[in-house]
Amino acid sequence: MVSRATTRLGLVLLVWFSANMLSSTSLIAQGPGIVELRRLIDGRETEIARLEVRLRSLEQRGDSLSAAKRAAEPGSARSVSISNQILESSEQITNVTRQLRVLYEQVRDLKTQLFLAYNAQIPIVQQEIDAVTSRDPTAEDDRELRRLVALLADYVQAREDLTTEIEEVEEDLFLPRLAFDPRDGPAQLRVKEAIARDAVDKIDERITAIEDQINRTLQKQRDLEEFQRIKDDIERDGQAPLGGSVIEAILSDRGVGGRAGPGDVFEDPSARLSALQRRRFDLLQRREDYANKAEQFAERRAAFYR
Amino acid sequence: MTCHRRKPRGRPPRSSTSALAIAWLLTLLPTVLHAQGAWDYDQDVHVTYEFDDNVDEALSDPVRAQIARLAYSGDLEWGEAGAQRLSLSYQGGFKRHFGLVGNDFDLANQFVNEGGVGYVRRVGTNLALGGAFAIKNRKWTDDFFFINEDGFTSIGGEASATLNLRPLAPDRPARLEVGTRFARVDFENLDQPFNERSAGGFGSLTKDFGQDVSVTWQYSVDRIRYPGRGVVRPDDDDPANAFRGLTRPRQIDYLHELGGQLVWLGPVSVEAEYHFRYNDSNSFGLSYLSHNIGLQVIRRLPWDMLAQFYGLIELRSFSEPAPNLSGAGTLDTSGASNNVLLLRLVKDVNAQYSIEARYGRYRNESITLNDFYTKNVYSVGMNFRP
Repeated sequence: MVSRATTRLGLVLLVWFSANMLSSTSLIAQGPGIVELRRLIDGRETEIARLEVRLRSLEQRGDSLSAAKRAAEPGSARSVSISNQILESSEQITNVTRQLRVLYEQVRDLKTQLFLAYNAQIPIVQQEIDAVTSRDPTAEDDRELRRLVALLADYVQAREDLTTEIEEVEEDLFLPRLAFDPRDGPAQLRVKEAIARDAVDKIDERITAIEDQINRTLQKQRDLEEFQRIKDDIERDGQAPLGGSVIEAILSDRGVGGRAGPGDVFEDPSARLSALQRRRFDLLQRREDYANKAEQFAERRAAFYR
Repeated sequence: MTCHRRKPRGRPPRSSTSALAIAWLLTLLPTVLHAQGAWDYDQDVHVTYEFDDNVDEALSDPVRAQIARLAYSGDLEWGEAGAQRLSLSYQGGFKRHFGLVGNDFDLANQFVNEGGVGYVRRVGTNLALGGAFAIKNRKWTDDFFFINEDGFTSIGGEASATLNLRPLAPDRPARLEVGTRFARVDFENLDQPFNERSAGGFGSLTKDFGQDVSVTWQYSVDRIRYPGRGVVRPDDDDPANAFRGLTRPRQIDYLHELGGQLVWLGPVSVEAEYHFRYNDSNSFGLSYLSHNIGLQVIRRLPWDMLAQFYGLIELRSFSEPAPNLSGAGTLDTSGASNNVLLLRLVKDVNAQYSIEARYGRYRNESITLNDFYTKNVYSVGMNFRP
């Protein structure tokens, strides 16, 4: 809770400071606009997806080569040929891993820039709205006003979405990318296995924290339901002597179906819960990946001594 | 003893409003049946057995009751992120009375049935339109009845619009709701002066402060008309005659309510509310002011248990001397549950089932205004959330 609040406070201060710096140096005016930033982010995310697939394919190839090398006679022409292929594959893995790391950094920076761009544009659009509403309205002004209000809503929503993403990145675990390199010897494999087991422990801690959040969210929903249940029971329990209370009993249930109130019409009550469960599921999958990798590193290390 | 025998009466006239409400519900069906995309249905079943130690308001020879109750509610959501919602609710109960004059006197029993349907649809990202309709019926098993629990049929409905006032600061959303509503009540045995019609409007503003705190301000006004009841005048020495006076103006009350509610969700969750009511009546002695204070607290306990406290106090004062209405029947125009203290203990058996025990103490205003009677209600129940 404290760390989350601190992160938020830090983020707000960072944004405020950066926005002031940027506005004073007119960087936003000179830098890429919102549309361009979105295009750059989309392009990099596509490239990340492509490289992830390529990395998995290279790892599988490295696995096959390592197995083939173990089966080949040491010093034979076949063994030398496989060693060369292993070297080539290993360099490609290193190269792809490096590219991915750079792309992740770039996307994070671009998203922060985009957040700042929205932050700068929102007051400008607001000023334009104020300017339009302050003069005598014409039909053209009405159209312009509608366009500006829609644009403002779009910007505010996009900024909120980005805030969530940036917060998630800030809170995200630092998990090393552990690729299978066919050149790894027992010492490297031991280190990678230890790193993988550390990652599993870190993920376990995060999963526990997310499960706590899920439980707290469910508990809040339940408390609201119980508040409403008692009220409904008292209003509907048939003890009403005559008219007035019956009317109230019928009409007081404005939050239909025992809902806490009309307000959550605009919020999918399960959205936050679904987001948390999605993150938990994602972490469980990553945990399984790291646990499998730790096992595989251990097996490969053991193979050196057989 | 305030029990009565039924008077012969004809079949009550069918209400044109019920026909309109049914027509409105039918218009919803095509929308529901053509629901596209993902949908979600939540339901809740609640079964309770209750013991009430003082059903009638006579204190010297109390009548007791056993009540079996079944409640069901369901919520169907469909469309993008629950853009449309249809809610159904039903509650039925059987009330067996006993204990009068040392059990020598056979008492009639009651059936109570009520149901409601509500529909909400988001129109765009910042506007939602909705409506609700409810009907309730209380029926005695023979011609016996207590005057404070006469059989009746009531219907009510509302239409409302909710505007999402999303501010630029995150985590501080606010919503404005305005709406209109109507209700009518027709009693089975009492004279026409006791039937009533009401129509009014309401508005509320809710603001969230983060995910744990929410504040709501509300205002409503209802015009309550008693078509069969003449006004009481200061010089009336027999109000009963005044009610039946055909030439007198009809009694009309304007009930204003202004209030606020605070909800805080945490390790101990709290819901506190205050409502100020002002009933402005054209009938002498029936205008009043009241302060209503409510508090709910939920505390989690070990072994998947929770304890809940509910308290409600109404402090009411009439702005003119309340008329002596002995023999004239009731004029109570306010809620029956004036003062309530309730303690509840819930044990979750698993994620779907829970059981509960509850004790409630009620101090309610009797049919003779400014006179109170007390009752205790003990209940056990089970809740199922499939």
